[in-house]
Amino acid sequence: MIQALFDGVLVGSILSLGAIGLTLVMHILRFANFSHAELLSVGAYCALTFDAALSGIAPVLAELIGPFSMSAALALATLAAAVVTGLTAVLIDRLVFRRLRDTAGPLTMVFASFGVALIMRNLIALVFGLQTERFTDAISFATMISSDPLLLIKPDQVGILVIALAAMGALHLVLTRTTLGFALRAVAENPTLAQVNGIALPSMIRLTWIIGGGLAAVAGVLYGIDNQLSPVMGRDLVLSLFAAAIVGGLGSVTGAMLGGFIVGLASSFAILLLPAGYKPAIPFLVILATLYVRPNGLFGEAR
Amino acid sequence: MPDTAAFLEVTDLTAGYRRGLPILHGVSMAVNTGEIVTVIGPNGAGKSTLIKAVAGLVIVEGGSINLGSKDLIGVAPDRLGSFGLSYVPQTANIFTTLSVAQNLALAARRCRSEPEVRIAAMLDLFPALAERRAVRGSGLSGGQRQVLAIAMALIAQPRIILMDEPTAGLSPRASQDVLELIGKIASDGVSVLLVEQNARMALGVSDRAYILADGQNQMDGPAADILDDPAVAEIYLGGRRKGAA
Repeated sequence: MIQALFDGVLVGSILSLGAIGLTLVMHILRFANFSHAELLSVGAYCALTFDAALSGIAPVLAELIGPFSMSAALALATLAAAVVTGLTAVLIDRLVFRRLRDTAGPLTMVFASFGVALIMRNLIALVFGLQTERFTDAISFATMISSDPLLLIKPDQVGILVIALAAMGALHLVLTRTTLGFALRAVAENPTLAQVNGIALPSMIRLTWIIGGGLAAVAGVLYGIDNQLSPVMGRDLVLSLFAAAIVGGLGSVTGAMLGGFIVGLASSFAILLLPAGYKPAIPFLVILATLYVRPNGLFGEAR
Repeated sequence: MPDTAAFLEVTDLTAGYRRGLPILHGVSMAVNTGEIVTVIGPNGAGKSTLIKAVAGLVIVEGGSINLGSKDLIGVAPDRLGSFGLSYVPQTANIFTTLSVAQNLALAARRCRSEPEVRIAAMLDLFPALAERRAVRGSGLSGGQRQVLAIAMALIAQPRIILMDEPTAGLSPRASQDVLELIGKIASDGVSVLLVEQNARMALGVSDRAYILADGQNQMDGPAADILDDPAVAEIYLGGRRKGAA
């Protein structure tokens, strides 16, 4: 039971990071972006590439840090991947979504996002191949924290949890303590009023993509450390990310964070009760249960 | 006809929400410095569209909008502040998910001077807001929201404020307070272009007024004259004034 709790929190932290960008984009740009999960793949594969390059240029960076199977090269690669993924999200918006925003309806945007997701997924497969990849071949051994009830934790998992919580904490501080954060929240609530209060909408939209893409990249790297990289990892995570965003309430960053943990925990505990084959259905059940009680999600407001 | 020395001058304006489907058909009006000008008219007359056209929020297909010597057509709404213009929308005119202080901090981004100084000035001017600075917008009453919206407009020290039905949904007492506040703003030299359904009360604090119907000018003149005109009262002000012939 306690193992399921820890595993759920771990998966939930990764989902929360991915869901934040999704909920921001859905709220500000008013469309369900099914290509958002592919940004996790873009980020993870960017980090894989940068990690290899940095390790080649400066082998000292490739040395593992303490008990972790992570290196300084991977840490730097993750930061670079976050920037590149954020810029990739801006580029996709410029090439596809911005062109449709003023002329097409939300449904067209949704279908366009499906198309973008397919292109991104297949481009990654084309470049990196369909086989799975790992950041390192080093093995991170689990430590037995408790034998009864059994709780095994790898050092990497602690690192993942700390990094994910730190990233969410940093974003929370930006949104609640800075005028830039107020501006982002203002645009999410009322774009027209934000504009007449001097906020340039195009800049805020770019910033939203950069933040969403950056966090997705970090989530992708953390997922890759705990599991492995695959061109279809975005496809595998997309429903869980949507579930987290919807459960939390569209537009609510706090909601997305909490939603991620709820979906992660539900999926983790479900394995104790249901055959593993039912695991993909868990996010849907969580969505249904939440919307039945709170139609706008936990922190969402009626629109 | 518009005053040629007007601060804000709208001439032959054709505008609407969709290209080819204008709401306004050749509307002209003007606001002089320190003047309160009210636009009244029946529902669907194009009053809000006029104010939104000046704010750059609808599609302008013809005519001109000049603020001083500057042409406003094509200016993005987020740049209005640099022209000395603030706009208070009719509804949803504050950010309900932000606190009073956060709303003011956001609006203060447009300030040329120190934002903190301007925020403090607004909190001094509106003690009710100072008392509720940590309260979220959703926790304010209708009147308090309107005061916050006006404070957000004033914080950038505009030369003209556009207000779209600032008394909508307010009690008569709160409406009177808001209109008195508007009078005070104008007495400090700030021009006000006011769109109001509550025509009698608005005309009471205005210098001049324009009447729109079907997206066209119907009448304009000193507010007192319009208020006393029996025909106008009958058609646009909901009946004759007490004591009128």
